[in-house]
Amino acid sequence: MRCSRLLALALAFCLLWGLTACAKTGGGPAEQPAMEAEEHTLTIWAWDDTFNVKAANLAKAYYAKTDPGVQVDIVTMAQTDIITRLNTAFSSSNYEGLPNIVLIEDYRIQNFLKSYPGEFRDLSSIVDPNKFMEYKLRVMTEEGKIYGVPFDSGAAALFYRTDYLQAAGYTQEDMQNLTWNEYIEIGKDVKAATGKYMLTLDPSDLGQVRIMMQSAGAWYVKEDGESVDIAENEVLKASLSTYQRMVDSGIALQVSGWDPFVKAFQEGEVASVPSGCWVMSNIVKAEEQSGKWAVAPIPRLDGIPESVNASSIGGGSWYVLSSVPGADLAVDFLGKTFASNEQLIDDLVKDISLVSTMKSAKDLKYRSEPSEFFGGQRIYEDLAAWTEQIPPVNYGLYTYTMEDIIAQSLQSIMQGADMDETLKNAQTQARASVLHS
Amino acid sequence: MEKILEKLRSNSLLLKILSVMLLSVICVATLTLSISIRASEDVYVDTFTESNSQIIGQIRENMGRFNDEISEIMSVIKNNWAFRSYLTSEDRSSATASYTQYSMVWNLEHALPPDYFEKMSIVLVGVNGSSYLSSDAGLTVSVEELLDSAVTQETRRQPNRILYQYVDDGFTTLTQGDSAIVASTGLNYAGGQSNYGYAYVVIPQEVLRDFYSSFSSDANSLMLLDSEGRIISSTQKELIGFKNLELLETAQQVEENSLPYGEIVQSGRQMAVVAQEIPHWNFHLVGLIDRESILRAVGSYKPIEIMTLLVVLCVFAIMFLVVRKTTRPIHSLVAEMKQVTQGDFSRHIPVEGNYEVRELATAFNYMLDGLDSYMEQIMTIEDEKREAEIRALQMQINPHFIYNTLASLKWMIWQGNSESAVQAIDSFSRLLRGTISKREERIPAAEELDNLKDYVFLQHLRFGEQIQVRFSLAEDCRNCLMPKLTLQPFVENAFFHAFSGAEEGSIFVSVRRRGNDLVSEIIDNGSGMKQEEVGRTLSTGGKADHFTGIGIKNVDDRIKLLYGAQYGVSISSEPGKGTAVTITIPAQEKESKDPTNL
Repeated sequence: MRCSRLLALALAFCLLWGLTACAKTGGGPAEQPAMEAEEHTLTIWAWDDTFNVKAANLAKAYYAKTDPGVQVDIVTMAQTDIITRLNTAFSSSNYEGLPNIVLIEDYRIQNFLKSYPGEFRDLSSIVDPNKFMEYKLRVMTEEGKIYGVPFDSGAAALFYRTDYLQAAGYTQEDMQNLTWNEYIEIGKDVKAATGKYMLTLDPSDLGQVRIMMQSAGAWYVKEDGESVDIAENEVLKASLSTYQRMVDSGIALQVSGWDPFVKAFQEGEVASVPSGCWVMSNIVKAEEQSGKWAVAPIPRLDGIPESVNASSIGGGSWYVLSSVPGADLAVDFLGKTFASNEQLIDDLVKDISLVSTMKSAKDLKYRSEPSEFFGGQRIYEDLAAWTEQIPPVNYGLYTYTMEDIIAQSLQSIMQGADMDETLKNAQTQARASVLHS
Repeated sequence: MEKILEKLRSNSLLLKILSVMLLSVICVATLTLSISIRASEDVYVDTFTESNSQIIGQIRENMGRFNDEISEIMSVIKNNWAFRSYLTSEDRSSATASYTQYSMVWNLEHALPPDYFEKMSIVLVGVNGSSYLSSDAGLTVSVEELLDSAVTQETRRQPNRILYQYVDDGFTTLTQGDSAIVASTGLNYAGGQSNYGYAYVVIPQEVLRDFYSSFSSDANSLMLLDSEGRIISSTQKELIGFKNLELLETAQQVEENSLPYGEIVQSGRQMAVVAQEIPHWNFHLVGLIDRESILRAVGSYKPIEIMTLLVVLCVFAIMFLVVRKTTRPIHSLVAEMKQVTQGDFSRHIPVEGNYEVRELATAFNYMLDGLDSYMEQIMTIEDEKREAEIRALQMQINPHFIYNTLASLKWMIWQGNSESAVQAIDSFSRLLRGTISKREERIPAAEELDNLKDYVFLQHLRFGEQIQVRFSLAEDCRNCLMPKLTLQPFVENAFFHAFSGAEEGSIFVSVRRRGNDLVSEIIDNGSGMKQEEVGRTLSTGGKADHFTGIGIKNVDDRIKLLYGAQYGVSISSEPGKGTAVTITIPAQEKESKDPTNL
């Protein structure tokens, strides 16, 4: 009897042992390696394959020399998509699939910094404020802390076709330090002489208006970045009427979206591109037009004494997301590349026609070289000089929200509505939307 | 080796029971295991397939919704004045143109649902050469190329439907070099015959994959097939763009007959196919389920197998102990019985073990007892019979001896030698009395020797005194008892056989003690015999003119009968030298109260 009881015990033990063995095999391998792999992978989001994506790739190559163990994934994504994804992620605190480093346009960064404090890493440790231009740093500085690494200059310039202008009887001398009225007159002559439009305008994107406003140090908001400044904004009014005159004079090709904008100058449909210097990488792509281009300072507003022949449009900077694993590595990456590496900047000038916002970049080799494409002009020097004259502006948080409203108002004005009345409505509308957002 | 075989043979019952049990336990375990594994696999695969069907149903629903969204956008593009105006008007610089474009973009943006539409490009192309692309992407083909493309041509044929077509190169920078699905429709005036433009929604693989990728795993892959069997989207990217007619056929069969799933062999693997047609898209959504991979996902059966093995071992161990416990008594019973077959009836079998075995042992012991006593009885009877026989022989004085002796007497009397005759008659009568009249079985050694002397005297009378007989009786042996007529047959034998043809000889008879034994020796110096003749001598019976019926053999038998096997007669002889007969019996004194002996 005792014998069988002992056996039962042994059997029970065996069963138990078998069960625990089962349970043990159920567990997967440790998740340690996955975490470690993440630590050595960086993801970067940018939006322009010919420009900032290319820049990131170059930086990756430079970084690989110092730290070959790190894998850097660079993803091209539409800018609006990037903004949507960041907003979604921040508002839900779900950081899955977000990059470590992201390029954000200067107009938008204030909104992010104010709406989601703590989501971006303080980069004061790697960014030396003396090294970069002030107008650029201002938008990414919050309570004395610098949250981004300035990348491209948004310096506006007037790129134009020397051949078309010559056909209309204008020399390069004639193109220096124009006012917009003079520019429109020239445009009319060009149109008459060559049948080509002077420039493209995108009714949904008021880049031209922004260029004009910043040339006078004005914006949709006052200097505090918060008070809506539309109805009483003389600079805005002057800009809008200039825009209207451009349209009415018939020198502007209406395009919608990026692709027709680029195609217009690449296919020789327009005689000039008054835009940010980042557009250069697309201009030089049309190699058959080499030597036919020149760069002049951006025109200034008539009747506005503060307006200078320098302005800015767009331009972006690199930011590090603090909640995505690998933030320290990302900081190291930026610190060793865009924040300090002048050799990299020099290469970028050569490869993507970057106009850097790094002050010391002035002395670099390529920067002083004459550009063959632009007829031997030392464009980088010129652009750098203009960049330094850009009046600083506090873009505030809602540039694009207000631009939607202004674009609509502009259409009304062009359809014949009274400007003061329309802008008064716009002011109310803008204030409401700012309060609501 | 021999030993092991022997051991196995002696345990054959245990072995047989155990092997049968082990076999059946293993059979049952293996059968149960395989049946249950098979069943659980089937259930798992069925469940997996079922859930895949449901997933496919859900994806189908999602894609239906997606189609709704696309058709909504298409309807905005078709019906909104701004689009029509942009695609038909030649005016591209006036304030109206600006307003047209502004409205168009505004309307489109507001028609787009949020989120995933940002990954897609909406492309508008007018026959007048104008084009528009939503998002920052660019066209990678010219407007003319796009208008000539197969996608557009197909759209031209059915302008009022939304067509979903596969293209190898999704003509925008977002999908550059990648295949894509293009939803397209023709733009025309209501009732108009010709299209003024075309609208396309370029759907990158990535967006399509988002519809189903979260539902796929290692074990199943999902894909979209167009009506020509081309794989236009798949969780396995490498398959995209290839035609698979076999799969299309299977999928169509599944759809038409509403089967739960179909089966197909793809690259050597057995696959289950679940499929549904997606309305509007004109695609087939197909799920391929790899049975092997699913089962791999189930995990290994090793723990279960090990468990089963353990259980089998445990059961076997228990069985072994129980069976051994049961068979051990039988085994020892067998061992005991084996001894009995060797003739030892006195050994009892220990009564132990379970009830049956105990009963068996008891019965066996009972039988053994019976057998033993019966045997003993038989032996006793046998012995008694033999003794009686010998006694009868003892009694039989050979008539020839009497005739011969009487003839000698007559001869002596006739010679007048009456003194000798008287002496002879005395001897003869003493001899007769000693042998026939006396009832005692055993007599003192002195008496035996006296009888022997009388016999020798009579023999001398008959045959003369050439053969001398000398007697020696140890003093302490006088009263020792010995069976009657123990020595006489040997002396007689010596008289008749030892001295054939010899002139004279001598026989020496001595009785003495050796330890507790009484040893009598009859030694002659006659012709002797070879060793083989000794045996013959011992086994032959008495002869016609011997004194009694007792022969040499009877003497030996009788001694053994009386005293045991260790006593008896031994003869040693050498041809030409003589023969010595030694008779050994225990020395037993006669009780002195018997007054009748001398």
